[in-house]
Amino acid sequence: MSTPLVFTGVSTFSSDFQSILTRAVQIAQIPVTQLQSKDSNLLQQKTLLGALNSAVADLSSSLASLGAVGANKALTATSSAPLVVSVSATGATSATSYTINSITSAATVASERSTSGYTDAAATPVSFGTLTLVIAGVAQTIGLTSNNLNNLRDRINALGAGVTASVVISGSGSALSVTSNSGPQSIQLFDGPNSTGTDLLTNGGTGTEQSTATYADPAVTQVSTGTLTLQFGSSSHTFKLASNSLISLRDQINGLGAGVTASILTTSNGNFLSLSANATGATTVKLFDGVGTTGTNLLTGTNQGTNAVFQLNGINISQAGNVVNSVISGVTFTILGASATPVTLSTTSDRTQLSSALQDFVAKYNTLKQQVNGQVGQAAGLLAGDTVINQLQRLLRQVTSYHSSAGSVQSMADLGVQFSNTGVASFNQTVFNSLTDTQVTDGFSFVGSASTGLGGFSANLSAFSDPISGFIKAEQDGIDRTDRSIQSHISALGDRIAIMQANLTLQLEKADALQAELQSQQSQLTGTLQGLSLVLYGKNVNALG
Amino acid sequence: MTLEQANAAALAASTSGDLETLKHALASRVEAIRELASAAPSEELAARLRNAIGAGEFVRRDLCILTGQIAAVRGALGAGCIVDPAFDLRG
Repeated sequence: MSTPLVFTGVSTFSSDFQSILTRAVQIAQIPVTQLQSKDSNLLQQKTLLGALNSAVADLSSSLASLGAVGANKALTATSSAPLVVSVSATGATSATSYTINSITSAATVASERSTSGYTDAAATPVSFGTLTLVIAGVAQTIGLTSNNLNNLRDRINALGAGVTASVVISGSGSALSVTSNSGPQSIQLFDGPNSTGTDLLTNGGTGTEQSTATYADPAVTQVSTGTLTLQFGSSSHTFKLASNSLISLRDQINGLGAGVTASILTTSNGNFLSLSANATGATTVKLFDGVGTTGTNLLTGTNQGTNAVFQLNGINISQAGNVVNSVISGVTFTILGASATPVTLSTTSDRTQLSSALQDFVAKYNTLKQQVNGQVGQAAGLLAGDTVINQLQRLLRQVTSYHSSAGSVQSMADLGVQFSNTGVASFNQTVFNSLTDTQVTDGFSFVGSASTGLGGFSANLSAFSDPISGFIKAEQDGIDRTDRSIQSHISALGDRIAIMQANLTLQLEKADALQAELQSQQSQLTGTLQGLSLVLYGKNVNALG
Repeated sequence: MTLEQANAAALAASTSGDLETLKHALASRVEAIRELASAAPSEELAARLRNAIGAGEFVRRDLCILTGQIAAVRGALGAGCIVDPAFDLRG
């Protein structure tokens, strides 16, 4: 706000001017103070609306829960053997029971391992180089060798031998080009573990050599026996193109996305490949060495997975998973193990759910009612007269007076919810406990659902509390807009007061200086007159004669 | 400017609340007062001094009225009016 004025005058009127000036500025600030007060009230209103919104949302949610209890009649599911079959109600609307018997098996995952162990998971060959994985009758071929031009290029470049290899187009195929990184030197590439094999490169001695042969497909066509020796100058490097190992096989299988997970089991008898299906159910998991299914199956065949097999009310059911949620509407059960003993699944109404929901309603209702009451009457808060308050008052009256003309439960009082003269709700557990099963059933109908009956008021309340489009949110948004406008107004007023302060200060300083000057002149004239009087009359004479 | 002329100018300026003109008039008046110091003692001089002192009191009264005008501003503000930033105290 405005900075305090400091007025330094020299006349005997200075203090008066100062007080007048200060007072003038204070008064000029009155509209600002009023605006600030108004803004403060608005922000308090917004806070009150925020608390009100929470209370409305809570009651809305409580009524929706109450409606949900009514809609599914508080049905809960139980199993006579929960360790064999677990069950839950997921929307059942009627109390009934089911019998599950002859549970031959729970669903299990297929899990096999290699019949043989391999000494070195990273080096010991596991096959001829090509394998066929069969999952549930679907075959996929796995190649463990990389005996092709592209891999040869990559392997040479990875050697760090001082040469750079590349694949070049040559005629109708591709060729390998190897260039020295340090000028002309001898470059030879022998097919074999030493220099006795065939040199696959030209021998021009220019520092760049090319394969003497061309290869139809650089990614497929075989280029060597699998082991090669690069001779560059006096250095020799022997390397293999094959990746015929357990680790490579594991990685390739996992890369297939075939619905199985491969892993390596390291034991004292060597490394074994383990394959497990990602989902339960009977299936086939086989791994043949070679192309097709005529080769040797490298895996055991002892655990090809099982289906959940059982009877439901005498009907045979076999399914890959243990969770059964599409057979009985609104009921989900899970087969946990085999059992020859029949298991009974039951759905029954749990009246305590209704009781709890009603108690929650009472608590949430009272919270909201208290907030609304705080904004009406002589001691009303800042939301007095607010449209939202008036509308909520009406809505709460509709809730409390809601009644049905059907069944043995026609009002909340019939369920034990009572309202005092001051509108405070309470839950009478004794009344509720005395309800017969029929009355409880009628009570479910009375509370309806999330959109009908008593529960239907949930939607009416959420129209107020919706965080995006609710009435309360709209009012809060309006307050925000007004707040911004007031702040802008306050700022403008502050600027104007500052200007006025400057103008007043100038004027008053000037007036004060003139007072001082005048005072000085008057004193001088008075002194002169007194001196003259002594000369003329021999005595002082009053200044005005 | 004689003392009488300066008194008249000062009175005219203070009556109208013209502080700038009053400033010039008082400057002339102090010059005129200084010139009186060399005048010979006489009844006439005494009369001129008394008149000048009287005129000065009128000017002082006007300046007091000026403060009253500021009080009037205060009153206007108290009524909730926003003062024009260009408020002219001579008004």
